[in-house]
Amino acid sequence: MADLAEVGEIRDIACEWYTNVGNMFRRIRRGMGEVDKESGSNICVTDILAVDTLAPVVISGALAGETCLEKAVGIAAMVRTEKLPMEEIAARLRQELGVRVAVAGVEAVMASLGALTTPGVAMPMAILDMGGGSTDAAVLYPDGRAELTHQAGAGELVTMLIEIELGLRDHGIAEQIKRYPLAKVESLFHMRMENGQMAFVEESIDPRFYGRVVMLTGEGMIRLEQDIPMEKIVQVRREAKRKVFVTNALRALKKVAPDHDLKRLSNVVLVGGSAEDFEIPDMLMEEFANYRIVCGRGNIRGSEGPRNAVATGLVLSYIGERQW
Amino acid sequence: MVMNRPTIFIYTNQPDRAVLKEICAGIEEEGIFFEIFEQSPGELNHLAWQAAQDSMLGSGVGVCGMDAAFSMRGLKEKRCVEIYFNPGREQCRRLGGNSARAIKRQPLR
Ligand SMILES: Nc1ncnc2c1ncn2[C@@H]1O[C@H](COP(=O)(O)OP(=O)(O)OP(=O)(O)O)[C@@H](O)[C@H]1O
Ligand SMILES: [Mg+2]
Repeated sequence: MADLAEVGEIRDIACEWYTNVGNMFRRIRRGMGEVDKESGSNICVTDILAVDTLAPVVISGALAGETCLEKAVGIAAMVRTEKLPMEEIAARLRQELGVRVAVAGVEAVMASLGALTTPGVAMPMAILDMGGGSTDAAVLYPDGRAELTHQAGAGELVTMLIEIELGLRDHGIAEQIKRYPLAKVESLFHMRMENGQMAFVEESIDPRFYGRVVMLTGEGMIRLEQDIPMEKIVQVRREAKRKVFVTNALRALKKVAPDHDLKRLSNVVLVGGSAEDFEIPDMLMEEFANYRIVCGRGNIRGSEGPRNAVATGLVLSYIGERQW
Repeated sequence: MVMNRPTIFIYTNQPDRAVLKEICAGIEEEGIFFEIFEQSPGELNHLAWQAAQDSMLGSGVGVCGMDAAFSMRGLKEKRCVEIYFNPGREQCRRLGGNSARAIKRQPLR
């Protein structure tokens, strides 16, 4: 990963055949080839994020399916094809909905335009769009210039790391663990939150939650069937988020900052689904403090929170074009 | 008599012997002690609730004939943790086990 930061713009990444990583890459290419038949061999990998992880491996010859943890690597790749099947999608939408459909805009620029609708935000500013597949960054200047980058690895990778490291074998549960803080129900009348606080309740807690680790969703609790200590889950969850988002945020912002110097950025608006996370913005804030960068969640149109930035940007740019 | 041994209380009213035996076995399996007291006829919910009130550990079981219930101190009288009418062996054993696991702060099964 250190070498990756050294090189300039990446056009494609190739891998040695018949190695573990080589096979992973072949799978990625084959998968993309199926989505987009036309580009054929013109599929390029323009960025990767590799993270160390631990994966449970079944011990061969074990009697009760025992597993041990082995070192593994998780890789997210940014894939570019010659021509995304966008036109095809647009044509199909036109046909099915009977409305005019056009393909327009660059995602990160649109996200920036959307982020500008956050009350109190002004240019020049930087945005960090933390989505499911990629972490994008852009710096927008008052004269309309923009610097952008797309980095591999975001929310989905975090979910995958949680699923693998905790041996959950269930993507849905991993996604829930990622989103909600935990508590342990210690009696019918109190629980211990993951930050050590005790919470007492008036009405007795449902006995089905008794003695268990639960996720606090804001609309009730979800109980965790797996018998994993709360501390372990919290640790794995935080590590996964740090490995992906802190790494990627620094990587992405360095690419777009003036002279690649983070200190020359002053404020960063966080947008995208993963900016809704209950701890990722805090982690970034802490990290950015070292560079004197102030960051905060966007609040698109003053009401949408960090989501809908791209959609808002697209509408704004469309209206803007028509007025000129 | 002052009763303050740390035990699970089992309040019974003409209990079925097999049901009672399985419940006790379930408690024993979890390594907790219990005491059995025969009570005058009453409602099953109430037996379990009263047993939980009186037990120093706050965990109580009621057995009426073939039926069994388990409650914990703090719960409302009509809201036992588990209640079975004419339970099978497995269910009895689990109910006993749960009344003991509750004390050990372990998840119920
Ligand atoms: N409340 C939440 N807490 C944590 N993560 C969340 C929350 N809500 C959504 N996410 C995560 O946000 C991600 C999706 O974000 P978003 O909708 O911005 O992605 P996208 O724009 O479709 O993806 P990309 O920008 O990579 O193409 C998912 O990984 C999801 O788990
Ligand atoms: Mg997005």
